[in-house]
Amino acid sequence: MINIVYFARVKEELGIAAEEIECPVDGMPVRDLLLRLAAQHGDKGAVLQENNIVVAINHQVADSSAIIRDQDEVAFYPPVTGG
Amino acid sequence: MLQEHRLNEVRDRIKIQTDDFDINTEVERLYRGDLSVGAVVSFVGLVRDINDNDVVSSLTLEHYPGMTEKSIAKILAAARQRWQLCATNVVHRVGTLQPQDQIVYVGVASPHRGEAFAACEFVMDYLKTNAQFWKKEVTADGSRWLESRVADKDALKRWESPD
Repeated sequence: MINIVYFARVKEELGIAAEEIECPVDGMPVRDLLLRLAAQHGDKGAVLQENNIVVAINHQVADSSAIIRDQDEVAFYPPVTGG
Repeated sequence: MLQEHRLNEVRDRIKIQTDDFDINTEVERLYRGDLSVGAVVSFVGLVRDINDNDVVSSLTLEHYPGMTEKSIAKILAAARQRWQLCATNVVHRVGTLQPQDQIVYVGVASPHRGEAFAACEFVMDYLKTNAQFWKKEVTADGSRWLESRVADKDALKRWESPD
């Protein structure tokens, strides 16, 4: 399984904080996961297609070509605004 | 020996909490028991009542447990590469806060003040752009997530060229 977590506006617009999906044997690139999640969430999924959304795999910021493996934690979140 | 032990120990403290913090306590953590400290510089960030011309009644902060701490640890490690630091201390609050509440504490201890001043500003600048915190404001018009600011990204430019 891939453990997916959402934060801030992404979480709010999707209406969920986390979900799990089955991971293909060879893993899957971030961009494929994004397409799948966006389709799965219908209209609400639009937030995942915004170009400033950050993806992190196991707490490391990743790009859309990075490969996700079984048991990975993948996070999607908007640009940060701390401090 | 206490002193010898301290010399071999990297004293970087990172705390994310809902509770308020006491500045004196946080300052003491940086130097108590470490005789090499000659300077402590502290920064405290507060919730303001006005943002983008709207009156803010409250602010809610969210973080990514696990990743946020790692990101701050990387910032502190980068600061240690640039300056000679005895200790660092970052406290960041999450949850709902009101104007005048303390949001963040960044403290840096060094043998000398120049390094402490620079490192404190460096840590705070990178905290703004590289640590996973998000703010949602409540105003008279409802609530809104804050967008990241170009000014915060611009602030990093001063650290990109060698001193």
